Amino acid sequence: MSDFNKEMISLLPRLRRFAMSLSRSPDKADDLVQITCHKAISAKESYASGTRMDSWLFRIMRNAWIDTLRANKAPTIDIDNDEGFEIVGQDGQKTIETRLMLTRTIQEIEQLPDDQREVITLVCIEELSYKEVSEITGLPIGTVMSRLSRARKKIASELGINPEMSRSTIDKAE
Amino acid sequence: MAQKIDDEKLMAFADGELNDKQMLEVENALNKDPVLAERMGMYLETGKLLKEAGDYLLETPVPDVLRKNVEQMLTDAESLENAAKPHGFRLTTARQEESIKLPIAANSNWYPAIAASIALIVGSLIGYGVAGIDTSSDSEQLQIADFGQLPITNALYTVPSGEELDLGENGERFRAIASYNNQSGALCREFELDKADKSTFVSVACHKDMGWRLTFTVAAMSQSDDGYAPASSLEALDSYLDAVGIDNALSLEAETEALNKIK
Repeated sequence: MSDFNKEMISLLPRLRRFAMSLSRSPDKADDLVQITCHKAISAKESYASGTRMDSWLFRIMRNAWIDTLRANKAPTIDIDNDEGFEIVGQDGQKTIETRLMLTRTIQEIEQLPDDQREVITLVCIEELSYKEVSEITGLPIGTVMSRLSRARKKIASELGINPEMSRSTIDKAE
Repeated sequence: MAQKIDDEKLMAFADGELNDKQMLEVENALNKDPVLAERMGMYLETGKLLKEAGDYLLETPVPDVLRKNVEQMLTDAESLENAAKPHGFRLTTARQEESIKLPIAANSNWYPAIAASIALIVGSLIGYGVAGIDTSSDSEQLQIADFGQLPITNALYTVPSGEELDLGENGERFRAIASYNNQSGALCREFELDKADKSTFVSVACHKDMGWRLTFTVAAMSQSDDGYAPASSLEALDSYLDAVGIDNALSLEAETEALNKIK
C-alpha cells in the first residue's frame, strides 16, 4: 500500500471524529468521511506529499459539509435528527468521575454554536495551530481566537472551572 | 509599565502560540499577578480537558463498513492509475465514474444533496499528468462534445459488434468492437472512432441513466507519427477493463438483447 493510502486509512478515526463534530450524527458522519476521502482521492495530485494530510483532509471535509448544508438549505442542524456523539470508550482505567466529566464536556461541546464548536474542535481536539485553523476555515486568526476564547469560557462556566475567572472583562471585540 | 495582557493573549500563552519574547512577557506578568494566573489557568484547564475529551472520542471504533469502503476507493484509484501508465501511446482522458464508486447509502435522507456534489467530482475529466503524456493538443482529444453528438450515440444503440458505420460528418467512422457488462451490471461497449485526420480513438462507453457515458478513451497514434504502434493502445484498454472488472465480451445474441432493453 502506498504512503498516501496508508496515511489516509490511519487518519480515519480522526476524520470520523471531526465529521461527528460537524454533523452530530453517526450516519451522516460516515457519509461525510466517505465523501471527503472520495474528493481527496480524486484530487490526489493537489496534495503535496510531505505536508500535513490531516489539515488537507479537514479542509476538504469542512467544505464538503458546507456544500451539503447549502444544498439542503438548512442553516442549522435539524435538532430532531441530532443523534449526538457516540461515546464508546475503552473505559477500563477511567474512574466514574472522569468518565462523567468527559461525557459532560462532550455534551457541552455539542451545544456550542457551530462556529465556536468548529474552532474549539480544530484547536483543542485536533490540536491544530491557530494559523492552520485560520487556513482551513478561511477565518482571520483574530476571529479564530475570539471564538475560541468565548467557547472555552462557556465550557469553563458550564463545568464549574475557575468560575469567577470565566466571566470575562477583558475580551477583544471580534 | 507593561501593557495590560488581554484574555486572548493568555489563551495563546496557554496554547503555546506565543513567540519567545511574548512568552517571557506573559510569564513575568503571571508571576506578579495571581488573578491573571488564574485566568490563564482556566484556558490551560479547558485545553487539557478538551484534549482528554477528544482522546476519549477517538476511542470510538471506525465502523468496518466505512473502513472497507475507503480501502476500496483507494484500491480502485490505484487500479486506474496503473492502467493509465504509459504503454507507448498517448492517453488522453478517462472518467473515473465507473472505477471509483462512492458508496453512499441510497436511502440516506441527504442523498440528493450529495448526488449534486458527486456529479461535480465524477463529471470532471481527468487528464493524466503522467510524464511524457501530452494531453494538451486539442485535435488529439476526443472532445466530449464529439461524443455527445447524436451519430455516435445512435451508433452505440444500433451497430452490432464487428460492424462499422460511416458517421457521415467529417469522414468519421464508428466501429463496434465488443460489448460487456460492468460490475454494476450496466452495458458497456468498446468501439473505435476513426477521425478524418487519421487519428483513431479506442473507447469504452457504458449505458447509465438513459444515456451513454464515455468511461475510457485512448488515442491510438498512427505509426508514422510518433513511432508508437497502435496495438499498444489495446494494452491500456485491457488494463482498464481488468481494473474496472469488466468480464468477458457478450455474445452477439446477448448483446442484441441488451441493446433492445435499453433502446
